[in-house]
Amino acid sequence: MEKILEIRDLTFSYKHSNAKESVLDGVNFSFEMGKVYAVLGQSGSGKSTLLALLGGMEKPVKGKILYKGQDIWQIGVRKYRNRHIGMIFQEYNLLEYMDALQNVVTAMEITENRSGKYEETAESLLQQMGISDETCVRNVRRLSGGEQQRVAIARALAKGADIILADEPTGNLDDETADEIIEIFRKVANEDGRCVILVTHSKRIAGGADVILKVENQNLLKKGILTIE
Amino acid sequence: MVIWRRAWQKNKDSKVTVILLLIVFSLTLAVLLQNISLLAMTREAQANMNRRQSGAVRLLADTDESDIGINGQTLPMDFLQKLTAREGVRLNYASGTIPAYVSGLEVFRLSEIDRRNKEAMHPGYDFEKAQDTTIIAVSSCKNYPEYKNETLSIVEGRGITSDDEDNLVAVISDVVAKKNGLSPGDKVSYRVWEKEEGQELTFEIVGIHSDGSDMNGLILGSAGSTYHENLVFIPLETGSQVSPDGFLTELEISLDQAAKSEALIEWIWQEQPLLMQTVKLVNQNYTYQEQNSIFAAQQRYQGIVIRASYGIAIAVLSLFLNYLLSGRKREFGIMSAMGERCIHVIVQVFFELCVPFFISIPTGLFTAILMMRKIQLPQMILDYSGSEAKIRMRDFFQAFGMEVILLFMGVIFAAIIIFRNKPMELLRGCRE
Repeated sequence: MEKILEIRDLTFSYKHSNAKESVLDGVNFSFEMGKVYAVLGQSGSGKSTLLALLGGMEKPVKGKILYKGQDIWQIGVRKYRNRHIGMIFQEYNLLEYMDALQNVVTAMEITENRSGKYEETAESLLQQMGISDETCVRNVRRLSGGEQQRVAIARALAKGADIILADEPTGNLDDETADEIIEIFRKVANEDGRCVILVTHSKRIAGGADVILKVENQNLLKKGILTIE
Repeated sequence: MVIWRRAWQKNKDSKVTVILLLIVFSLTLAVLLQNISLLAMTREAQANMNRRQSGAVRLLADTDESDIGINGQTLPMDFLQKLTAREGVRLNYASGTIPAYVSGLEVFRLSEIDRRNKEAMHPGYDFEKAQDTTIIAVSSCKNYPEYKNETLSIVEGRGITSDDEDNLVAVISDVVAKKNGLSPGDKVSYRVWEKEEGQELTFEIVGIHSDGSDMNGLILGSAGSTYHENLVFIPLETGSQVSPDGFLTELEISLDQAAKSEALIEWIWQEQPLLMQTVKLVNQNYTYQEQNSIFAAQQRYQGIVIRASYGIAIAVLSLFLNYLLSGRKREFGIMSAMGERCIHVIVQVFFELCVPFFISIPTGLFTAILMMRKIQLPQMILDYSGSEAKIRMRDFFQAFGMEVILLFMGVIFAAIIIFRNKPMELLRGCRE
């Protein structure tokens, strides 16, 4: 399998007034295309930070994140996020003044990958996610949590990015809907050949992934351990 | 286009915000426009006053008939040339009176009773032998008091203007024109008082004046007691050339610097020592200084109102936008996470603000006009500005310019929020 993302000696810490709180310390790992990765860990263990770093939303203190062998900070993180990353959040983070369709179309307009008929592609994607035509044109505030997360996934996929980063994507959903979402991720990775990295605290959800990673408590992180179960 | 559509969608979703912004922009524009207009009108009124009068030394020659030719203490016509030759002196208006005899025309003559009465009032003056017409040399007919107060008007042809220079042209009365069958283009001959018989000058009639009646009226203005019928107007320069001994009746000059007025009056009295008895030299600077200080106070007040209203508008808009944009950090974070350029997000905010901003132009203008109607301008401003309080285009552009700055301040707020925060901080909706 082709290596898409590689982290080398990744170190990150938060600054609180004068104190420094180490979150990741010397982490190394490679992510491949066509797989779903689940990052497990307790709250505050640094798993969301790892995702933010992979998405170029935070800058590492030390170490590198390589996209196809190139440092993402050298590529330019905005460009990297724009072209190669699709992000999904626990809180869905949809643009609330738009309907489902507009949210997906907006993502396609923003990305520099896409061209062609945005609305048709967006409608097709939303349908694949199980969003009906009627729901498509409804303001996202009026959608259920599951529907909003499906719209968020459609938005991430609509960008045509090869890496999907999902931060607790099923955190606000019931088990049944969560399973459906995981199934979608598996399809995206295994059938479309993309790399899906999802962060979760649920072992059940992580069980659906091809590769499960665990971020240990801070002590262990300081040793730079990222274990594969 | 894409960004504009996003801005439009956002505005559609936030109608209350748009209405509030519209109110803020409209009121700001209205208050700014009103006060900028008032300030401009005050400045203009002050400039008008200064142009007309400030630094002016008004030489009010007493033209009481008793002074005419009796004691010779009037201001001679040729003095005007000396005066206007001085540096910084500009002639605003002048007129002079030249007693003259008319040749071959039928004009009004005093009745026997009137003649005797006049001779009784002025012992030693032979009215029978005196002039039978009065030539008024004017720099411009329209500034002559009787034209200004509309006692006289030009009914045919034109009045004397500064363009006539030293031409031999004249404006005669309608009664004389009718009696003698004259009209513009015809010629008339006059002999000024210091010339001998046979030294008549021929003038071309360029206009006919009238007092609006067939009766012979008596003007009791600055030109003294003069009968309309016998009144002839010629150019000032012509008057001073044909009759250097004629006397000035009205003279108004302006100085380039008000401070020169005292020195000028000193000089005039040295040149014309007898003037003090018969000619009033009025230095109007003192009045103008007072008026200027009133104008200055008015301008200070309007300046304070403009600054205060602009300050309030900035403060209100800052607080409002700060609240508004801070609440949108998450949205900016989502955009950033999708890889949107910061500049595009800022442009979106700009477009969003543009909607209430552009709607506020007509509403602000309308509000300003309504507010302006309620304004009662101080009399002094009315006197010199020549119109009621009104809004003019150039004032609008100034107010509009200040409003544009407000708009860009809003955009700068957005830029600060976006650039100061990392994408993750924006997504969390707060700064860490």
